[in-house]
Amino acid sequence: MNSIADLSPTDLKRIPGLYRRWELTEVFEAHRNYQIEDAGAHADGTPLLAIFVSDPVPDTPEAT
Amino acid sequence: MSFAWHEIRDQIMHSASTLNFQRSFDAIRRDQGPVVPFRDPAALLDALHQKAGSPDQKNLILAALARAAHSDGHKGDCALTLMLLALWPGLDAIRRRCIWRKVGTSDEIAADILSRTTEAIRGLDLQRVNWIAATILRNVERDILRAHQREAGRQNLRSETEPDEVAADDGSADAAVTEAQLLRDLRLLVGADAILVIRVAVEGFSQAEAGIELGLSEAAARKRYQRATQRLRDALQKIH
Repeated sequence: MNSIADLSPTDLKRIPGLYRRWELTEVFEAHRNYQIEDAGAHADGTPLLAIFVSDPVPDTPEAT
Repeated sequence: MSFAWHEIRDQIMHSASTLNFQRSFDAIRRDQGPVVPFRDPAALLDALHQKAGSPDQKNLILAALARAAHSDGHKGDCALTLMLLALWPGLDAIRRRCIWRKVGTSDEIAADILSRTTEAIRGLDLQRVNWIAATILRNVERDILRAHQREAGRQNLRSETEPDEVAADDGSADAAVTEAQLLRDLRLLVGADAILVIRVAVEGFSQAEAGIELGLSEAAARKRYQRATQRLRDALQKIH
């Protein structure tokens, strides 16, 4: 997995929508890098998050 | 290489969806009060494009973006991009009217609209402009048409084409005089609503767009336009 420092902010694209924390596992896909940003709160006070995603990255071999 | 108009918008939207763009937007939010309530560009554009909402508030937001667009660097570029997206429905209407008027090829019109709008935003004098969107859109379209008329006039002076091949809307030298006469004659019949009638019936603006320029709500513009056109119909019936 790339370090987030290797990615420029221009490489990360916003996924439309705002998400609750427990929804993140349903959004994440393998072989991509994500940056999660605070995006305010729902009317009920639940924190909302914006998700930025990189293009798919190639598989990196496991270290032996 | 030709870019379809919608592809240009897609490219701009794409550039507005990066983390880098969000960072620039956050910088604008720190400086410009009217933009603070919007956590991200999508929320801001949504608010500007919805029919509901106060025109005064939208105008404040656009003024804030125009101020930010005067700065250099990523912040200025971000603000300019947001202004283009905010004005896109109006720019789209200008493009349709220009195509209908055969001002140029589709690509030429698209390039002209975008370059003039960028120039208009970056050069906007916020001390002298009241209604940001209406002023920018009206000036862009006016300048495109004037440039086209000047060019058509120059072509006429040295043209070797047959008269039948010349576009019907030539006579560009008299256009300004004709428009002034039309305005004067219409004022005799419909008074202060003459400009409203010209903007809608002649220049192709929607009643809402013309209303914004004249400081009217959409409902008021619609009502006054209906009343003015009824007065014109009554006047024509008397003639016949």
